[in-house]
Amino acid sequence: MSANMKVAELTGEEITIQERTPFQIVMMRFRKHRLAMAALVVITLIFMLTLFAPYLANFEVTEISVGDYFLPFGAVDEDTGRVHYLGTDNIGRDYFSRLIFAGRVSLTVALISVLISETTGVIIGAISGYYGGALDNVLMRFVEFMLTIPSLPLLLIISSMLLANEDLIPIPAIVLNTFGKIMLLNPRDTRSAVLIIMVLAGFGWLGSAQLMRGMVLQIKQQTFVEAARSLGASNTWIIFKHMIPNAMAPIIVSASLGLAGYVVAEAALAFLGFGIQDPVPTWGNMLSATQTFMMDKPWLPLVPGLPIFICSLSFNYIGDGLRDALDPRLKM
Amino acid sequence: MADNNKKPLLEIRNLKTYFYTEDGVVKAVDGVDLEVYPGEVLGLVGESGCGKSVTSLAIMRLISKPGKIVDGEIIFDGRDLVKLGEPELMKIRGNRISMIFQQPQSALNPVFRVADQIGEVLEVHQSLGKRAGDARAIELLKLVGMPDAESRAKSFPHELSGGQAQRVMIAMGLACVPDMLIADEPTTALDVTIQAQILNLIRDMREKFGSSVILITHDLGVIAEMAERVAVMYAGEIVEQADVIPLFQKPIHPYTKGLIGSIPVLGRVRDQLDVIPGSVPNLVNLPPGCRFAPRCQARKEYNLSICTEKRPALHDFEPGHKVRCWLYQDDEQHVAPLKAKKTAKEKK
Repeated sequence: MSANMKVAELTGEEITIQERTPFQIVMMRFRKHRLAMAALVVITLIFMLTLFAPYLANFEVTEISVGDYFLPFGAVDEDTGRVHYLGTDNIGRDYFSRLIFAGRVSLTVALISVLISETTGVIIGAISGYYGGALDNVLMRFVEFMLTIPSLPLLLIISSMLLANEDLIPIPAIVLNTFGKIMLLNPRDTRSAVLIIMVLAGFGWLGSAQLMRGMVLQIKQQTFVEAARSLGASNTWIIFKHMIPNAMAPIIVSASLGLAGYVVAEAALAFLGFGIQDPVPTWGNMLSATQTFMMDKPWLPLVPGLPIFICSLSFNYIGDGLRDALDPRLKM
Repeated sequence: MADNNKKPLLEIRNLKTYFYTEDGVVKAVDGVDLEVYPGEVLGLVGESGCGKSVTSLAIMRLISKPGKIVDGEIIFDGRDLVKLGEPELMKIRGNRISMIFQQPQSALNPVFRVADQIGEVLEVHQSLGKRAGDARAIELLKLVGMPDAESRAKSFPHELSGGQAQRVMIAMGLACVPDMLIADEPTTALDVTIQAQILNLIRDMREKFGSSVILITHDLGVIAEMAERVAVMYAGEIVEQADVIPLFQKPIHPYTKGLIGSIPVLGRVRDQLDVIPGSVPNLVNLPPGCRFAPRCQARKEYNLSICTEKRPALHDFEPGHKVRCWLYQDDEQHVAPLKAKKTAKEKK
């Protein structure tokens, strides 16, 4: 009898199961994805290296040690006793210091490009899908038209045009100052970095716009959108409060995969000589600079090549992990 | 019981809502007249596809392409909703008229917490901030009888049961104390026991807030329990309209009779339930006369030819009891009692 009484006396609070927020569920699933977790650790390490570059680098980026060309890994500078962890390049600049500062530029370019292109893509895709009709037709045909153009030659032409004519696109000083502080560059070099971001993002939003439009077409059919309208919500409200938050999962995945793409795209532009120019180091132009002695000294291209490879691989794995974690069909 | 001297809160006159599809014009609502008086519960009954939901969406002006309100007036509190622009409508929706949907689970946005969704209504209409909105949301949840309201407010829709989700919907609908609540099959997706709770809640809330309720359902049991006045819809038009007791005790339209006859009665074992033969006519190709004529047993019994030729009008059979049927009306649309017709037929 007393046992029965106890059951009856249980309060609601005691038998409530701890409920997880969707964020906790996603994190739990993501942690199960080993490769993605490893990639996350690697990316975090690389980010920390580039973030603390000013403290970690023992040489100035543009500091030339005359005569100390092509020094091997771990060589010691005779005058000051500082170590060239990764040796020096063809004009005697410290390879390690340049590499971590280069990472700072390359990753910032990739991150900002993703941020701009995904935001643009999401908003344009949402508007296109939500309003439909003629507007949708015009926007989507434009996106498709842009996608049919091979992007690399176009990127090359546009970036060379923009970089050559300083006054073609005026960039506000505040933008230059902010980005200059992030990438630790002077305004003139920042300007070329910002231009590269604009060029990359200018072509990058197309895919996410299509993705977002597809998502919105799906979400639009759901009852909660009609319910929101019946409660007096405006179109703008519905787009920002109902469409975009519900479409976030695939957008996050495409953004993380996009990061990998931008790291490579920036490197490709730089490698072909149309990106940010020497003496500002980026992984792409460091790689490009080694072209002539690639065969004799194979470690020189490998040093900047490896972080490009590792970053793009890691971003891809993180993207995979996020996709699995965010996919509601894979209930674990 | 409705007091007919009172001014109606909502007056629908000759509402026509058509859907322009590739197969032709679907006349989902074709000439509906309806009044809702302040504080009353009006039941709108009919089979699936008879235009009940379209009528309610038309009141909210939520008919979207390819649908269109072709004709008619929806006068709410002195203003014709059909003529209002979108900004004015947004001020009315959720604030003066709100709506509860059939599938409460899918009518809530899956990515937001319950409190945020209730707060949304308050933010839209009363520019209430986040904190004030949350506090009011918890208050409303308590009001609609949500157990453990504080912690439920932090739940996501998928963590709620159907009944709880419907309570949240009702809380959202009532957040701004609307003059009218449209409940579109509010209990269809719920268990029977939960159904009763939700119906009780709607009734309590009506008493507390004094809002009128349009209760849309195909369940006559729900109507009998809740409504004060009933309108029966068939193929886009209202065929009979009366107070609830006369309608159930003395239905006069053959369709209403059929509907009531097809309800299983507890404790009364029958080999077969009465069914209405045939099915709802195609709303693209409607019969020229009475829309119920092809399925009407009474028509065959009395051998009326006018039923398939001319559309009957909705007329008063008795004060407060309207019907759209030739059995109770002659060619000049005067009231002609059934008895007279029967004797006329016998003389032949």
